[in-house]
Amino acid sequence: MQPPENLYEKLRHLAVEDPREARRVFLQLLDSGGPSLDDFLGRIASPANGRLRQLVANALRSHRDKERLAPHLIVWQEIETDEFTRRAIAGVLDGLDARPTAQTALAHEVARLTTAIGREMAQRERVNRELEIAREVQERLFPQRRPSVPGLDYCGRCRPAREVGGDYYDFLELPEGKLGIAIGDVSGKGIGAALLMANLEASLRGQALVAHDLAELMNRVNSLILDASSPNRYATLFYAAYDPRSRQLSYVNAGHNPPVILRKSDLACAVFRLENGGPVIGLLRQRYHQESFALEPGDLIVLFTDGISESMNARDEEWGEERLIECAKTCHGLPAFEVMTRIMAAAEAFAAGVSQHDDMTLAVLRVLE
Amino acid sequence: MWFIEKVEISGGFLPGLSVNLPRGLTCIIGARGSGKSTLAEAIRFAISGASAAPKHCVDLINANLAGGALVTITALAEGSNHYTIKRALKQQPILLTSDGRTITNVDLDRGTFLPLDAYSSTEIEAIADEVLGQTRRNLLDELRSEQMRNIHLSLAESARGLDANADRIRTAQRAIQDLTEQTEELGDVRARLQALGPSDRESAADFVQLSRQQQLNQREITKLDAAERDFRTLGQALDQVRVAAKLAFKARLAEEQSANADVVRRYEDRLAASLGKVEKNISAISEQIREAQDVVVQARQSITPAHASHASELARLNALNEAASEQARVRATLEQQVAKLQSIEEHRLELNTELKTLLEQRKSLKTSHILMRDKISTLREEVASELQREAGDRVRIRIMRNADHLAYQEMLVEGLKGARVRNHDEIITTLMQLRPEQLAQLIQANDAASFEELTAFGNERSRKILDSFRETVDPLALEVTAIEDRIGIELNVSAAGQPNFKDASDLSRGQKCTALLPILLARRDSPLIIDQPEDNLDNHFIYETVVNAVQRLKTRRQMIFITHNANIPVLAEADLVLVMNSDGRVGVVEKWGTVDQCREQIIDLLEGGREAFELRSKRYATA
Repeated sequence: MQPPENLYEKLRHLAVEDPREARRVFLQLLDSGGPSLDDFLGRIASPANGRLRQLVANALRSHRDKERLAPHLIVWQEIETDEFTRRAIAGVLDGLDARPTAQTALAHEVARLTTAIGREMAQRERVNRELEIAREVQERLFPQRRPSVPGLDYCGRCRPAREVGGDYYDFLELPEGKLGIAIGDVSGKGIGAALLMANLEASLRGQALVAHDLAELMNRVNSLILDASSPNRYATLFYAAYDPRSRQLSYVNAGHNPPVILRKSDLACAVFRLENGGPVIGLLRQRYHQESFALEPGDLIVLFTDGISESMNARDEEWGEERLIECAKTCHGLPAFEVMTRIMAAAEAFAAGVSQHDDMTLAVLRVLE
Repeated sequence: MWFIEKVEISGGFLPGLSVNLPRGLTCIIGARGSGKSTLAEAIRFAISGASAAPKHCVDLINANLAGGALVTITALAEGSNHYTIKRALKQQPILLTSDGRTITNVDLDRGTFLPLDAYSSTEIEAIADEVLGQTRRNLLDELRSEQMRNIHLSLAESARGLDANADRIRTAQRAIQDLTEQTEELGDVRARLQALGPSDRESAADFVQLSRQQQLNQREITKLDAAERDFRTLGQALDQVRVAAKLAFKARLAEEQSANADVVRRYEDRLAASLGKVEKNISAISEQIREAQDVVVQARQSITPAHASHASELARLNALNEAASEQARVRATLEQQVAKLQSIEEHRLELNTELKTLLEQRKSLKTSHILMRDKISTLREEVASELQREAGDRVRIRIMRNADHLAYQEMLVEGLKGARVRNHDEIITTLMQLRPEQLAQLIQANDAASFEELTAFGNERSRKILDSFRETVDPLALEVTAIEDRIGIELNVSAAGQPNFKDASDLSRGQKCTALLPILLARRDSPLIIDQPEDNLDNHFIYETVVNAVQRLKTRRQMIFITHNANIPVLAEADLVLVMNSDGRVGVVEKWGTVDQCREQIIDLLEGGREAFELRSKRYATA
């Protein structure tokens, strides 16, 4: 006997491809009975499976067969949307004395239950498809190329969670050879988050090319997102522009985990956090302000989302920002890609195989000496 | 999301009309012939052009905008962009931005730039009345237009594949039938040969072998001919590709007037630059084909001498036979015949294998084609359940799969005519439990036993019916016969207790509109113009279905209603009421304002005006 899932898939195709063969296969299932038959009858209750319900109604050979499946047919008949199937079921039931007895009432109830479960399963499949779409949207949003910037080594990566969180990062080629760096996290999960993320990316990319003042840019992005999204959705966003000639990093931090700058001197390693700017975007109409940070050769900048800093292990402990910084300190002098890989690996090693609820996103910039 | 902000008309039946429209609900009221429909149709005409409206609406516009009347619409889109549309009869529309620049690369009539939903009373009735047919399906399909178009494109492509496959199957079947008839005498000939007794000559074996070779030689020539033909067709097809490639790669992408013309032209040049490479590749393939043709010619040349020597050898043996005894001559002829028939038999087996492959291919083509069609119904079900959520309990939208089946049923009736059986109606009822692909399989396999199991017609009747179908119905066409869904739009007409749902086609004029309105309202976010049919309606219908939906959705989209029922402006709180009047020569907006400002006119002009105001004040009092 085949596992029921394969049998269902097989019959779905076979009912179109070779109806006679489909009928033969179903009759085998009917004769062997048991849980695989019940499972199959439950699976075919969704509207799209009219063809299989018709196959079942058509296949019944004897009065006994018909009486056996009558409870299912009666339940299907009430909600049937396919004309051929409706006729086929009516054809079977017309020939039966379908007056309810205590025994058939119970069978009826069971049939109703399997039908309900089948519909629920069809619904879940739809949700899964939505997740796939969300993941696709997200993947398309990540930068497809990295503009080259003299004296800067950088890279970024996002490891999406199973349910697609709303992480986002981007590198933008700005006028006068500058580089735009964005990282953010959209509230919620799934399609809704992915769409807001798409909106965010479009707004930011649209504004970044024309705006000189980052605070003004963030004001506009905020009001665009505010107008376009539902009131309970918001996003954190850190946006910076790096000028390779002056090594000046201008930035606005709208409620995002502050990126960390590590500066190694002979004696110690200084840590700076880029936390000023304003609250999260998309929630309130407010104004942002811009900050500036003078980078020096050798500086290492680590941008991350809470999926990294809050990655959990099996005992529900968080990895934490401190561990992240400690890990980054050990990477001094390594290429950005290597630093990124090591931090990602450390966070994953900490979580040790526990499935993460949130996307993990990391971007690393290194000012070359 | 966009809004109509202002409508101006110069000349025609509504000269000097100028109204600012609010974002929510506008109700246009007035006596018959006061210009209400003209105003609604003028807006539709300016925004979507004459082709968007049915004939009677175009007639109205042609009559009432005659003499060069210009309709000007100011629209607000994407939050802050203003557009102005100016259109007069038989003239190209002009689309302007707020700073007065003209936009030339937008075709308003396509309905994608500023999409508008407008329904005249006749259109609403037509949707309600057309139980079968495309109108109701379009209502749903438009909401998934992108996906639907993709499915239809794939369907068209797979239909082409199925057609080509069917042609090849038919050719093979004809050829096999032909050959079968020819080989039928093989048994006879063999028997006669046996009856002749043993041969007295040693050369008999040579002779048989040569006769056989003669047949094989003929088939060799046929195959070479076919190869020659195939390469010639391939060459011609390639020539067509060459022309098509030239067109595609030298395409003009730039819109000459556009500000981006220069940018686009650079890419045009890049495309054109690769044409050379493409042509070189095509030429290389051309060259290969020519070489292949040479190869075929060489093959032909190199077997010609062998064929010639076989022929002369056979002639020699034939001459020997002539000289031999009567019996030997007969034997020679029969042996030659057997050899020929055997070779035909082999050919037939080859064709059978080919036919089997073709039928296998068809199976998967057919399956994906039919499953693709199922996907359309599934999409419609999704749309229907979305609309159902918005439409409320009074109205029911249902997808009845495969219920638009009249054409299929007629085909069955036609196919049954030749069968000498009684009770056709009963037979058709049973046959309609089988899908086209099921029936096609039984016809193709000539499987009377399964046919009888499925239908319980009895052995003899099953045989007769199946034979009749085999005569008249082409199973290859039958198995992919499309049967469409029927869209049920129903209204619960019972005032209380057990619901009693009736299809829109069975309802009164006003009820039809009531059943459809929640669906038309919920469809999308673009502005909506409704010209409500005049009818006496139960107020609780209007209230439960229309008023609730309008009130809920007027924040989502702009609505312009021509109405005859006071409940809509009064209870759904119209943001603007336009009262129209006419002296028979021209129409004017006599008064405009809020519901309260137009109270007197609403009570005078509309059915149930006073009651509506009473109900409204009661609701305010309790609120």
